[in-house]
Order: sequence, then structure tokens, then C-alpha cells
Amino acid sequence: MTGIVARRFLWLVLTLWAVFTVTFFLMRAVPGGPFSTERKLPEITERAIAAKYRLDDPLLSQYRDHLGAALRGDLGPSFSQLDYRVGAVIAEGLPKSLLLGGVSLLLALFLGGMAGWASALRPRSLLDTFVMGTSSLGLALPNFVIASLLVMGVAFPLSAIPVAGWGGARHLILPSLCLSLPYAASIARLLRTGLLEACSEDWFRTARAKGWSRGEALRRHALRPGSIAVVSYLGPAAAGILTGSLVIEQVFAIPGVGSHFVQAALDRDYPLAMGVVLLYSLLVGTFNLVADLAVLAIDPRGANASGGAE
Amino acid sequence: MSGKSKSVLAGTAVALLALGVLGPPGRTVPSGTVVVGLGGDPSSLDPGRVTSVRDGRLVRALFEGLTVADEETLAPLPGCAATWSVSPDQRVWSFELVEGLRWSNGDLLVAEDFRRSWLRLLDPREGCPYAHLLWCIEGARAYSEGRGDREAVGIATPTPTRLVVRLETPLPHFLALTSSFPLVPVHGPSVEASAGSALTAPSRLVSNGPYRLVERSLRERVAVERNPHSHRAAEVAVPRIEYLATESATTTLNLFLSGEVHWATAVPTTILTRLVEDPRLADACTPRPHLESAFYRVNVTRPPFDDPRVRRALSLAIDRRVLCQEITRCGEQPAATFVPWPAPALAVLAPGATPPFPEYDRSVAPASGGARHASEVAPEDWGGLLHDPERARALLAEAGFRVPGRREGAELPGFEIHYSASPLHQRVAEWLQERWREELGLEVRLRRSEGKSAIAEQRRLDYDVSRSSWVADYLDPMTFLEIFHSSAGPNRTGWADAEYDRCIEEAGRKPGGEERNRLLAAAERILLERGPIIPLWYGVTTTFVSPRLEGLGANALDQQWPARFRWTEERP
Amino acid sequence: MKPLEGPARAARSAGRSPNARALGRLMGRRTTRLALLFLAGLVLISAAAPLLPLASPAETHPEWALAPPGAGDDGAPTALCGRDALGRDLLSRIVWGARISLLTAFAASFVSLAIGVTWGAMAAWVGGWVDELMMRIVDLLFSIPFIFLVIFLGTLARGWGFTGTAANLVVFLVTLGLAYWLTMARVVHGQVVVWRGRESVQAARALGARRGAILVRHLLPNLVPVVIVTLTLTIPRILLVEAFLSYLGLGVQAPHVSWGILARDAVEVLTPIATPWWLVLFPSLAIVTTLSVLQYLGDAVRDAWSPKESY
Repeated sequence: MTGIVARRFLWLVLTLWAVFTVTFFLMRAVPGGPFSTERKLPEITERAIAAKYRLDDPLLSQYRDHLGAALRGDLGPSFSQLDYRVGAVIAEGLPKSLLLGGVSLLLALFLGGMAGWASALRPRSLLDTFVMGTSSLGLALPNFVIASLLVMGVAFPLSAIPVAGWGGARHLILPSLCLSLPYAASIARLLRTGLLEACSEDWFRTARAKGWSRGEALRRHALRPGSIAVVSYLGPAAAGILTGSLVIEQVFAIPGVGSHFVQAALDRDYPLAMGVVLLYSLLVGTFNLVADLAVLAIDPRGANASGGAE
Repeated sequence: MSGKSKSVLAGTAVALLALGVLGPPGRTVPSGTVVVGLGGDPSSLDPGRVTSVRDGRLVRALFEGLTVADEETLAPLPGCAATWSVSPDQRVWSFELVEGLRWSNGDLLVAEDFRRSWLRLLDPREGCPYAHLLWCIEGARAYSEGRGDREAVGIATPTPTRLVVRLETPLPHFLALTSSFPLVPVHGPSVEASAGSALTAPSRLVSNGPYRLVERSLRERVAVERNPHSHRAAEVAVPRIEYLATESATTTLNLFLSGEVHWATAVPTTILTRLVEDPRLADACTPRPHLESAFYRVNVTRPPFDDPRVRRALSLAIDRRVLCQEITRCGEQPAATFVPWPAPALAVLAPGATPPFPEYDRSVAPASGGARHASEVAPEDWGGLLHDPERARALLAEAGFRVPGRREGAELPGFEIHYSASPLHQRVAEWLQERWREELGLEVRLRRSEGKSAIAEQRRLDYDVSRSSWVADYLDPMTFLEIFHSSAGPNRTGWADAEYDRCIEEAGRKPGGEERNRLLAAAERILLERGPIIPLWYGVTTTFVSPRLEGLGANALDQQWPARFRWTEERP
Repeated sequence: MKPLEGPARAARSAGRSPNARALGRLMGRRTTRLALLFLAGLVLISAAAPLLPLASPAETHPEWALAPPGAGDDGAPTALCGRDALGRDLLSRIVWGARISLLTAFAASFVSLAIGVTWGAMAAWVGGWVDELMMRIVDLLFSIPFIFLVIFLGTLARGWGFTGTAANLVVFLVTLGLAYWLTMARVVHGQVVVWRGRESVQAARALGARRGAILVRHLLPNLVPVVIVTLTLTIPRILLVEAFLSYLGLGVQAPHVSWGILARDAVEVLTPIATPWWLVLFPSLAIVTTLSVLQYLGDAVRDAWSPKESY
């Protein structure tokens, strides 16, 4: 186990480096500079800015310097938030995104897990149809439509729920619900599929023949193999949900990091874009590692198989 | 369900509850606080770096220049300067500061602070975007372009409270310029200590305005409170103002409706006409003329747009009355000139109001017939001046292109409308696309671009026809007309016209008066007849203001002076 | 489910492969046939959009802006689903939007399916360092937010001269497909790893069965359900991503119209004061119905492929 973790950690570091490199050169291949102001600046000023942000150096030496600085944890000044360094931008937004994302993730697990389990317990029952229908809805409507409808239909009639903003626990209710719905729907469907798959196994039928109730047989025999797909899915999903969503942040005016993913790329804010990409990579890498370890823990035979006992 | 799964579920539920309850600490807005929906984050709080109208709103709360603009007329009133005088040749301005001015940290504010701040604005190494505002000062342009000496710039401080400025040539609007937000003083020691960044910590931002920074949270809010060291502290009625960085106009509207925002600077324009029918908003929104000219740039380096007839045809095919009544729908008025709000257009929106440039008598070039003086056109005829699809088709045919209803001529190549992201611009582009297809048989594509890249693409002349607008930097027609001088940065069309350049340059050397106006009017006529633009409309200010918030002025630049705000707790 | 009724049917299907039997079970259900019929109808209508008696989806009538559904007044022709902020006929826009949306969803999903299954199954089956490398490449691509890929590929494509309306659309489809094969690869990989470890497969190996035979006889049939379920998750997701990109203005450009653009236009005018409900309702209905049918089909397919479940 330790070996696997160590190897995966090495891969994570390598991945981060590769992401850094790919992003660095990709961003510089795209036309459109970050300092496009209404007025044309005098040449000496253009040079001063280029020197300040080191835009004129040879690409490779820029790359070397940026990599060095990044290793020391400094991603440079943001091009669009002129008073901030990238580290400060992320430090302000990330805790808020993590809080909202954490609540949403738990909510998604709770709702999705309940729904998936209830569905698998009585497939094609009224409950199953209802749950799957609702999850279809959660997956089928764009989240900006859901968010707007929730604001109109819930926040305005109920004065206790704010229409937007950040500040207290009640500000979390609508955005976390909105953020978690599609994830909950996916979890419910994956869990139901996984459980029903497992039900078709011989040992499940044997267990049922022994006179176990369906629920007990599901829990004892189907839950482990049946949740593999969910656990695999949770890796990237967790990274996505924790970094937030531009739509939710815009509709509910949440000061998280989600919007930077889009805005930094559109503004050609290279340092900030690099910062959020690295952040995302780090989260994805970590959660994938955790998810894979969890899959191994659930089904150790898979571990032996991929462990290379050829 | 088994005990184990139950405990997992219960654990999740408990964790959820705990997170929800412990969540972010609830915050309460102190009573009497005015909350402003800013429409986004300021790009900076450093007066040397700010550029946008949004940044300006914060700068006017935190800083105070030599003069401050009257909230109705924009005329300069005493600010940090108590009195001023000008030499008979109109070239030497002398300002006497108010006695005992202090920074928000208690330091004394002296004339040298202004001198240093203005030199910093001009410093070529700083690259301040608004350096050109001070190019009227002797030696300033040379220094700012790296050709001259810092000490040769004509700003002097004979006494700690006296600032003397020598201008290159007399400038009618120089005094008004001193109220513009980039010309406020900055606190030298703290700017140097922070090395140009790190203005994010309230403790480090030292300012001299009616308010001081107390909270700055990215993408959330900027909060300011009354600055006890300000010489106006006694006048400031609102103790605290919070500027929300909410980007979405719909969300801002929602916050306004639920009473959490008292002044929404950006509103959803698509259905504004429906919104203002609601009693909650009827009193909150009065569209006012804004010194903004909305137009499309045409890239004259790309055929067939090198032919002025083609450019003119595109312009004549548009019915701007429909555009303003049905598409923009916030009170904008059809444009037949580039410099906004001539009297006939103003008479439709705000009957009885004084035009922003009362002495400026321009002529318009209607679709058919010779030029007429703008003031002679009846208000009801104004909107249709530039609409003549027949003439548009005739012009295209004359230029050798095939138009609907005609068989001969070359097919006009398809082209692209380049526009920057916003629901309004999108709607306008989609409508124009359809108009040009229908009236002129043109195959028009759309290309959407995001804020910063849009300007960069214009500058590279990487477009065919591009959405643009220009807002006055100062109260003079020159602020509009100078941008199409062949050497001006914001030209961005590839258009150069020797006669136009000559008019602008000559007008720039005149202190004012009849002759200067004649030159400017001549320039504008050239621009309209063969220039690289398709004028569309004159802009309006649309904001929602709570009836309980008073002290916001109805001026043509929507510049508000937070020191004047008044808040009534109960609805009047 | 009681898919096989009567000894005759049982006997008839006994000789067929499990997948053929599953297909039989699938088509045996009336709701499935209905769902397929709906999809076929949708494809047909959107394909025939130019032939239908509809107004042009781009034709603006600002004077009738935001007219509610029903017969128009002021001489406006009837607009069954109402009109948008530019006075365009919403029904026509929904029908024309279906073309782009369906094309996007199916084309991009197909790209994702082809790449994802091949990549994931191959990695898991070969195993060892190849597996490790292939899946780390997936991780690497997963680690770059897809919005970056979309923005950069779009800008680069422009730089390479893809500027026409059709070229934009192709770039858009390919970008989406390229961004979405990763999930498929991971899910397939995870499944194959588990199945590799199964007794039946290990037994077959121990008995000396050839790799290819095991792959075809044991693995591929077992992959079908999970691939289909992932696909039914991918298609809606691509449709939603299309909507998200439209929300950002990075989706297809006018005069093209898609359901995502309609949803964005709806949200733009949705306020607690003036609610042109038709702009929200009809496009949402189109999206929800289509995606629900797709998901229902996915469920039905999966159920048909795992008939052994007991009640």
C-alpha cells in the first residue's frame, strides 16, 4: 500500500509539472496580450511593463524563472486584479469555495446515496420511477436555469433565505443545493446501476436463496462492488465541486475561485490562470489518488490484478 | 437498511448540519450603511492604475482631488484646493490648498503630495494609463514619453500649501480636469512601501478622501467608513458604504428588490421597459443622458471597407429609431453625429435640459440632401436622419457591388461583426446582422470576444466591423473627436485623413471660441461623411437608486460624490 | 421483469448470444419503443426544419418583442410558443436549436465513446506500466479544466484560419468530444480492472485461454452496460456543457441557435417582476424531455442487459 501511495505521489508531482509546462506554453501560444488598454502606451512604458512582467525575455528563460518561482510558491502578480498576487487571489477565494463545495459534496452524497439505495431496493417501483425521474430533471436542466428558478421560487417568497450574497449559513442553502443537484443525480444513478449489477451475481442469488431480505443481501454483498463506480466518479467530481462553479458564483454572488477558471483565461491573466489550473490539478490528483485507494480497499482483487502479478 | 449504513447516513447529516451552522460567520450590516452594487471588482484601488468608471466610483469615495465636480453640472468646486487663480494668458494656474489637510493616517497633506502624485502619473516607468490627462502641462508629455526630464515638468510648490502649474498652451477645461479621479493625490510613503501592489490590506491604504478603506474582500465587497481626518468629516452623512462586487445584473436587481442594495449601478437592460412598470422600480430608475457615443468601427484596411461608399451604405441601412426603441430600449437616442447629445436628440429624452456642449454647433450629413445644422433639425425628424436603405443600395451599386433587386455587379464578400460580450451588444449585433442581410443582401457572421481581447483585436485591426463606444474623459467635444486623429491610440480603424488631422491639430492650439468650434465641427463632418465609423446611439445612464438614498446627482457622466449621500431610515 | 414469456419464446432465444437476447428484451417493452419513436421523431423534425412551415429562426421583429404564445395582434403572425426579446419566433428557434443541440450531443458523445472505450479498456487489459502511463495521461488531461481547452482550442483554430460559421461548429464539436472522452476511459478502466480480477476470468486464464478470446467472450459483453450508462450520463452532460458555453457566449454563434442559447436568453430576462415564462418553459421542456428520454433509454438498455436481477 505504501509503495502504491509513494508511486502515485511521484506521479502527482510529475503531473503538476506537466500541467505547468503544457499550460505555460499553451497560454503563450494564444494571441492577445494582458495589457490592452484603451490608449496606446508610449513605447518606453510598454518596455517598462514588459520588463516588469518579464514578457520580453526568451520563452525558455521565462519558463525557467516561472517554474523556479512557482516551486517557491510564488505565482507572480495577477494581470487583471492589479493589487493582488495570484497567491492572495486564491487564498481569498479558496476557503469560501471549499466551504460551499464541502457542504455541497456532503449534500450530494446524502441525497444521491439515499436516492440510489432506495431505487435499487425496489427497482421499477413507484419510488424508483420517481427518484430516477427527479434525478433526470437534476441532470437535464442547465444549472443556471435551476439557480434562477430557485431564486424566483424559493428566495423571494421566503424572506429567511437570501437571494444572493455571502456572509452566513443561510447564504449557503440555495447555492449548495444548486451545486449538489447534478452530482447527487449522478451518484444516485451510478449507485443504482452498480447495486443492480451486483444483484445479478451468483452469490447474491445464493444469499437471497438463503432467505436473506433483499436489503440485507444488498448491504452485505452488493454494496461494496456496487459502489465502485460511485467512488471512481467521486474523485474528479470532488475536485470539481470544491473549486466551485462560475454559474453558481455569478447567480448567487459568491466570492469563490470558480469564476477565475473562466475569467482568467478570457482576460489572458496568465499567472492567475496558471494558479487556478495548478490548484485544480492538485485537487484532482489528490482526490483521484484517494478514489483509487478506496476502490482498492473495496475490491482488493483489483489491486492484485493491477499490481502486476503477471 | 442496516445499522452501518444508517450510521453513515446519520454521520453525513450531522456533518452537514455542523458545517451549515458553523459555516461562515454571519455578518450584519450596521444600520445607516449604504450598499452599492458595483457590477464587479475594481481593477485596482491605486489612483495611478485605475481606468474604469467602476474604479472611479471607489476612488471618489477614498480620495479627493484639488477640485470636486458638482454633482449636477460637473462644474469644478473647491476640493483640496480652497481657492485658485489663473494668469492673464491662461497658462499658469495657482492653487491654494485648504489649511491643515490630513491623510487618513494623520499625516499632513501638502502641495508636494500633489506634485509627487502627478509626476508619478507621468512617470514613464509606471505606465499609468491616464498619464495623457496631464500632457497639457509644460514638459509633461516629453517626460511621460521618456524624452524629457522629470524636473522640467511645469509643476511647482512655492509654499507647502501652494501648487503652481504651467500649461503648454491655454486649455479651457483644465480646471475641470483637476476633478477627474486619476488626478487625486496618493500617499507617497505607503505607495513606495507597497511597491505598487498590496493595496489589498485596509491598513496599508492611506487616503485623503471623505472615506477610508476598512474592508476589501475580492469578488465580494469593498467597505469604506467615514474618514475622521478628512476636512469634510463633518459634512459626511453616511457613516459607511459597502460596494458589492456582484457581477450579474440580474443578481444585482434581485438584491435591490430585496432591499440589500440601495444603488445598483448596472441593471438588466433587456427588459428594463417592463421592469420600470413595477411600482417598486418606477421611482428608482430615471434614464439620463450619458456622455457616451455608441458606434461600430469599420476596418478601412480591409476591402471593401476601404471604399467610403460601402461604409456609408452600411450606416444608411440601419433604422436607428427601431434600434433605440426596440433593441436597446433604455432611453438611448438615435445618433446622427459622433459627439453625443445634440439638442434635438436631447429634447426627446430630457425636454428642457441644456445640451452638454451648448456652444458646439455641429452640422449633420443626412442621408439625402446637403448638410444641415444639427440645431435646425426637429426632434421628431432626428432619428430618421441617417436611415435611407434606397440610398444605401444605390451607394453599393455605385461602388460596383450587387445588391438586392439588381443583377450586375460583384458579390459583396461576407464579413464579420466583432463584438464584446454583453447581452445588449449581442442583441444589437444579431439585429444588425439580420438588417444588413435583409436590406443589402449581405452575409454577416458574428464573432464574440471578451473584454480585454476585444480591444487587443481592434488594435491589431483583426476585425471587419467592431462594436465600440466612447465615453467623455472631459467636458469638451475634443474628447470624442481627437480619438480619430491618425496618430491617436484609440483610432484602431486604420483610417487617416490629412484634412481631419489638420482640423484637430489646429483646434487643439486654440484656447476656445468660435474658431475652435468651427474647426471641430468641420472635423466631425469629415468623420461622418467619410470616416471609419457607423454611429448608432447616444448612451444613457440607467441605474436603480432607492428613494431613501439622496444626494446622487443627475450629471452627464454619472459621477457621484459619496460625501453628498444622505440616507433616510424611513420611506419618505 | 418477466421478459421471456412462454416456453416457445424461451426456446427461441436460447440459442442466441446474451446481447442479442438483451436486445430482444429491450425492444419487447412498449415504453422503450415509444422513447425510440420520440427520438426518431425529434431527429426527423430537426433534420426537416428547413422544410417546415416555420418562420426563420433569425428573423427579428423587434416590434413584437416578448409577445406571449398565441395568435399575434398588430398583424403579427401566430407564434405558438411566443417570441423572444428580439421578436423572433420561439417555436422556430426551438426546432432549429434541436439541430445544433442534437448534433453537438451525438457527435461529441460518439467521439468520446470511441476514444474513451478504446483507451480505458486497452490500458486496463494490457496492465503493468502501460496501464499506469495511459491512465496517468488521462489524469493529466483531467487535471486541466476543460474550459481552458475550449477557449484555447477555439482561439488556436481561429489563428489557423478556421473562421467560417461551419468551421466554428466543427471546432466546437471536436473540442467537446476531446474534453469528454476522459470520464468514459476512467469508468471503463475501473470496470475492466474489476472484471479482470473475477474468478471466471482468472479461471479462463488459468485454463490457458487466449487473451483475445477472454476479451471478446468475457470482458466486452460485460462492458456494454457500464458503457451505456456512462454514455447516457455523457450525452446530457455535453448538452449541458453546450448550455454553459452558451451562457458564457463561447458556444455556437448566431445565426446558429441551440437549446443552450435559448436557455441563456431565458435566464437573461427572468426577473421576479417581469417573467416571460414561455422563454423559460418551452426550451426547458425541450431539454428536459429529450434528456429524460435519453436517460430512460439508457436505463432500459442497462436493465435489459442485466436480466438476472431478482425482485
